[in-house]
Amino acid sequence: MSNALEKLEQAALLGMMVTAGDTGGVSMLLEVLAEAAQAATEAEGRMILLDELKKLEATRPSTDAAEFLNKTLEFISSSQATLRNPGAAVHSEMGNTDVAPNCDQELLSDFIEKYQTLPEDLEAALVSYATDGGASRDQTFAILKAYFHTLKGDAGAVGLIGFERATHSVESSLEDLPSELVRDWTLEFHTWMTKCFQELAGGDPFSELSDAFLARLATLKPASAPSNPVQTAPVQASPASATPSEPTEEDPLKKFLMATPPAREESYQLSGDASILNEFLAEAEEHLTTAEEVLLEGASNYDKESIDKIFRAVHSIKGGSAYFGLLEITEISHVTETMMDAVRIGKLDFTPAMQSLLLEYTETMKGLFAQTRTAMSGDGTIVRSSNATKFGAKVEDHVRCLSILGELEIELSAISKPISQKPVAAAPVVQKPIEVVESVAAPRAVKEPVEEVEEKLARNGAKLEIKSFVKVDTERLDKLIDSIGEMVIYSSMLVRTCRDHLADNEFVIRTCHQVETFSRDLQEVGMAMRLVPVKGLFQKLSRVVWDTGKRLGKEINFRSVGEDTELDRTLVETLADPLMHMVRNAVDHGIETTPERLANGKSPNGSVELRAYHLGGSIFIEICDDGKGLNPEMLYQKAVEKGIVAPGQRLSQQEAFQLIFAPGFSTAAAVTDISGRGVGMDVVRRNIESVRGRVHIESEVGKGSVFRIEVPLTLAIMEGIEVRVGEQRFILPTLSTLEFVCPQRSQIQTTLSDWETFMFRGKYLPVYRVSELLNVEGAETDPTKAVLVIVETKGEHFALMVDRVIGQHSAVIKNLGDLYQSCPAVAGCAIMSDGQAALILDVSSALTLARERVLSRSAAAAQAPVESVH
Amino acid sequence: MEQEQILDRARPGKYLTFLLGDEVYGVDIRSVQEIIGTTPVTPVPNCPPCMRGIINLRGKIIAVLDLRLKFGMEFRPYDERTCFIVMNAVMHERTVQIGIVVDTVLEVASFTQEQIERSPEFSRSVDTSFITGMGKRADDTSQVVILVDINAVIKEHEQIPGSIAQGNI
Repeated sequence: MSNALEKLEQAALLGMMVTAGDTGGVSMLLEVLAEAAQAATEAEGRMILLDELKKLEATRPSTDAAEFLNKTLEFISSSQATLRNPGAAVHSEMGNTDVAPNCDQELLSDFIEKYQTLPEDLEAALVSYATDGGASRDQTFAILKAYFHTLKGDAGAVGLIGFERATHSVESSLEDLPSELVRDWTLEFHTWMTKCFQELAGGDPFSELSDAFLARLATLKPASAPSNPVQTAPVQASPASATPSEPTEEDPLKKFLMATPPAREESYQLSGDASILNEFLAEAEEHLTTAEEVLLEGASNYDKESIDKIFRAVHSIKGGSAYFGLLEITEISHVTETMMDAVRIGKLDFTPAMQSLLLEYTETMKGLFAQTRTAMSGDGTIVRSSNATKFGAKVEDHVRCLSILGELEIELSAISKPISQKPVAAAPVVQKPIEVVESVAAPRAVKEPVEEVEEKLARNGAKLEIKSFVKVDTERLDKLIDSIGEMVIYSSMLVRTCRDHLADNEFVIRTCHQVETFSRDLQEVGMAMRLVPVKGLFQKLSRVVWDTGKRLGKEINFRSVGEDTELDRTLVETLADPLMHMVRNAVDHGIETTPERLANGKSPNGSVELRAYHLGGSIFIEICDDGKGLNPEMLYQKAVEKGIVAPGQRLSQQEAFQLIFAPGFSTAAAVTDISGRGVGMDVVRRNIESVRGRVHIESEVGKGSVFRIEVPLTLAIMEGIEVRVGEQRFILPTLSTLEFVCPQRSQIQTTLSDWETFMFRGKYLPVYRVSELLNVEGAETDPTKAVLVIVETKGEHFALMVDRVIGQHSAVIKNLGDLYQSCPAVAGCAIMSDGQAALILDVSSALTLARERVLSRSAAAAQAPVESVH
Repeated sequence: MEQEQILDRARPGKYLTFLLGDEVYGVDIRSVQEIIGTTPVTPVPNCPPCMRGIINLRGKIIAVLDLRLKFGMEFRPYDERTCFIVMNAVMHERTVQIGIVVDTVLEVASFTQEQIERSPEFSRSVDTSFITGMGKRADDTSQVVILVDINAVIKEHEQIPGSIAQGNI
């Protein structure tokens, strides 16, 4: 950065602090400006600057103090613009200036994806505007402005300076355009932009830079009004002539500090289309998630990129909310954006307090979004929440405090200046403030020569990968996936029939083969569509760790591994609550307090790690902590105390660990507000089991614990074993099936009450006949001619007797429908390859049912009514 | 939803008539989705006998209810004249599809308000709340059609949603 620019920065900062009445302050400001002008090089236009400054000073006695200050501030920003873009000659040499050197490829590709097409509502508005002769003016302009405004912000954030500039010009001149031109301009602009995108993606230099485009745009004339004075506006706004309206020169921090808070109404109305609003909310939530992710990830070190990300998120939320008239969201986002902008351009430093503040911002926003949703379903009136208003004020205060700090620094630097210029007085004490000022000014983006930009583009493989996405209603997606499932079933049915009956027709057989391959592909695509990365879930959890840790005063290092692991969407939804509970538990009960940790020779900060990975046909999610671990002895004692385990009953270590999932079991001495909210670990396990998952625990006292959750890859398809009982087929989930045995007579023992047990590896397992449980007629009655399926559920083993095992079957699980809601021992049904339905057995409720039968039968045998146990 | 409440009196309009034994019954044509021949039914255990089980209708699982058994008549093995009438009924404010088994489907008949009479008090032990009226044919046959409300038929099979069987495998 040149000396002159640096001085101007100081002047700008000073200008923010000075009030019109403060004559001394204004004089000081002018001095700094004079220094700045002197410091400017010839190329930067020193003569012009000096000249302008002289003219300005000359007006001082004759103008009102406040007006003069405004003029001075304008002068500062315009000179900054001049210095940044010293003349068109330099500019054209730079060639590809429309991309700033700091542009991030990923952000850029997102940006392109987002703006490649004109938003539908914008297009519609333009069309109607052009046809109804300006009747829908206000509405059209609201949409146009929102569009250009977000585009401007986003372009700036990704570093497309040219776009930012051009958008700003277009945005500011729109209002004054004759109505015939509005559409032309917008479309012209969009055409130009898409062309630029293509060139950007192809790694080519821009064929038409923003200045050239603006100039061309200005020549666009409506047939009816050939000479409209406003059309020169964009030319003026182009960087070569650098008018004060130059977007980069707007200083929101300054404006913000000077602005009086707007009058606040108590409630306001929603505007805009509900479905677009819905989309906005969804998008805004995504933005929040991004911001949160950065905030929680960065923890201590924030680079420019993360600040930019946060800024962008807040900015987009602001833009959208303004469009929908969500005053509160706009106001708070505006305040927050101003703060972030100041940080972004290096005016303020990013402090830990800001991190908390920003996290609070995301929380507040979530609350407001929820409120908006409620309002949407109601009459559209939103009542201001006091929380949100308070939060807004809090951010403002924070920024003010920081700015006052900045002011002090300026004063120091102003004092030190005359001294430091004399070599004798260059004492270290005095030098310090100057360093501070330098560090304040330093992070501002410095323009690199164009060659470097191009090099950078080339280094990154030159070609940008532009991904495009379509938002689809989840209901539609589910329907599609269902249909794919059906398609697959029926095509396999068809193929089988063809093979059976038309085996000698070569054409049919060949086509069958192709259909099979295709349907397999289709199934894979269908499955992939259901999958989402666990990233979002992990992020939520990291938030939980952060919140819980903070509330308990524990310092926790959070880490997550395998965030890109993909999981069925419904699984993610089902697992969110249990995982949150487990993570909270890990922080609350697992991790010790800092003194305890130090006493045990551990690092003061606890660590919680989340891991996700694929293994076999399952997905594993692990929650690891380095806390005190589970003590199996203690768990056992507790369980005996609570009557969960009979005294003297022997448990394996794993069984002891699993006790924490037993209903009514809580190891925490006191119920804190964090744990023990009524959702016990038993609910956690039930939730996980409801998606055919299970939890495995590893733990070492004093070292920490690992909770490993295993869930199937997808909920839609279940791996099952097809068995036959009598005339019927059933499917047993492979996950619960351990072994198939054809028993010998000697292995079957009949107990007194007429129940059979089977000797399996030294253990007696109860044998339940599926035919009896489910009242199936015509089934095999002789166990030696039947097959025993050894199954496991909730750690218990037993044998189910079936007639025959047919084979493996990947079943698309279907509900039995509302009329069979409570059918014991049946989990649902699947359509078999012949098109018939078969029932899927639920092993754990089959066990419950079998026990009930045992009880009722022995009760009948004893001829005494015994209450059946669930 | 217009069909939601269980009517105490059948509305005039078109009815699909069918036979159960010697009696002619009719259901509101608006709730009929389609008529299919018999297909193998997968029995669902531990259910009332009239709930025959489930079938797969183009990927949709549909419960099958034998109207003979429901109405207290004796079971008649399914033959080539037996039909499944797939109907859209309303349960818990949701549309559920159910297939009812009838001996044979006859025709579609129209009844005006005058042709529909309140159902007489039957002296049978079977619950007759689902009979919403008696339709008298206009032609010379002077045949009487028993009009049935499908929503009332499945009413007693309603169960609290989300009870035990939903979940675990």
